[in-house]
Amino acid sequence: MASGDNMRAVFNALNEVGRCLAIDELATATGLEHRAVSAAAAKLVRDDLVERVARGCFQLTAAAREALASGTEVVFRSGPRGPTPRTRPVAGSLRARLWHAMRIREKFTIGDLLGLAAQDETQAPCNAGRYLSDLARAGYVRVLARRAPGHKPTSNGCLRYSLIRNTGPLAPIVRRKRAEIYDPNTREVTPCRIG
Amino acid sequence: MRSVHVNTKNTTRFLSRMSELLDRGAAEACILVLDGDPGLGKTTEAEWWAVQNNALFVRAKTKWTEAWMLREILETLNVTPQYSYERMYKQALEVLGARAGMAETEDATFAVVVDEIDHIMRSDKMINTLRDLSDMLEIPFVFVGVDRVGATLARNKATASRIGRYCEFKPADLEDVRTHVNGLCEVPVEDDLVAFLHRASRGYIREIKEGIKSIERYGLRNRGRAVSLKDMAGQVLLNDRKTGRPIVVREEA
Repeated sequence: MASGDNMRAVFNALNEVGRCLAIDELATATGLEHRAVSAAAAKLVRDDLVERVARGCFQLTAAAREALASGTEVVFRSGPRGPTPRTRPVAGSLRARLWHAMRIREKFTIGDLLGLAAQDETQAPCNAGRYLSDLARAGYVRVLARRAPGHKPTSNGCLRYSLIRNTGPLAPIVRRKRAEIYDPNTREVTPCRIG
Repeated sequence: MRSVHVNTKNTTRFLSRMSELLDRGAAEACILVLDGDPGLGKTTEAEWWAVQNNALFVRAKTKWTEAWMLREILETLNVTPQYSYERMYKQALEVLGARAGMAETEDATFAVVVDEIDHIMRSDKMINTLRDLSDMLEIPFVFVGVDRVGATLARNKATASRIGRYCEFKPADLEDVRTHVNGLCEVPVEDDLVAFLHRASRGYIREIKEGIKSIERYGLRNRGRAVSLKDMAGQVLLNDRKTGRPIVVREEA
């Protein structure tokens, strides 16, 4: 059951009974687990629809009863109320693995990183190339003067990079629209031109 | 040459030993020893596994001390190390424990990989520190090295009892060489040339990749058609690892 549904179930149970109910009673009435009841009740308290009469005991607020009496629709929103305070890179994403590989190798080509980090992604080389370009502009990696020898007949060689700013285990996040890179290790933002 | 990871028999053996280690009966037997001759792909395999599983990866240094080792582990985890060994040890327990806990909630495994363990093999103190961490946290530690690391560790009885599994990397056989060629080479290669590559490289991964680069360079210059032993006769395939001399493809080999 989604958390919005849980909130509705707890709210309706309190409305039907018309008095305060403990978590045990709400769990019995709604068929939810205690933890789900507790989480739903906390969100309802946050939205000023339910109040805690005593520890673990809840009832509808006066505002909620007025809204029901006037026929106003009560909306249950379980999501965040504003911008989330921290942006986290998606765990297990290609860029997270690329960053991990950069920290292990320290000096590398795109091919070296893909050999360690790629899975079944169709655009892995393109993704890795863009990420490295953005990191280079932001000063995390440096393009080395000497290229690795290429394998194609007319190849100029492969760019080699060196990780010069190893800030921690979490991969820096490129924010294209804001033209900046957010580093979750240091919680710093570096403005840079995004490619 | 394609930038992909190639699964060989050594990979299968390593992953299998890792699974066995995770299903081990004794909770404190958390160490997996990965050894074999240089050039068989141990470090590359360990790096690949660490990246894919978000494991901690550190490289031992010749001049490592216990404090330096702990400092490096902590800095890799983005933790500012405190000043004494005792405090750093406690920090290491805390932060490694937290990482292991997070991995468990995601139904994943957190492990610590220590490459080039040979550098610290003679130091009982450092090996014992790693063993202590492994005992307390009951998370897998992978020791990667050469020179019969497993046998050397086994001389320390306390550490020997913590070694859950051994994995020895062996030279690639013909099938593995073919797997490498199919996975990495951007031109098709005939079986006779693969067999020559197997003999010339003696199953060492570095040499196999060097040979593949030469074959690919030749094949791409010749419109990408399948390359055979006859096609490359007289061309340098790779350099012999012992003598450094070039190994030239011979059609009658």
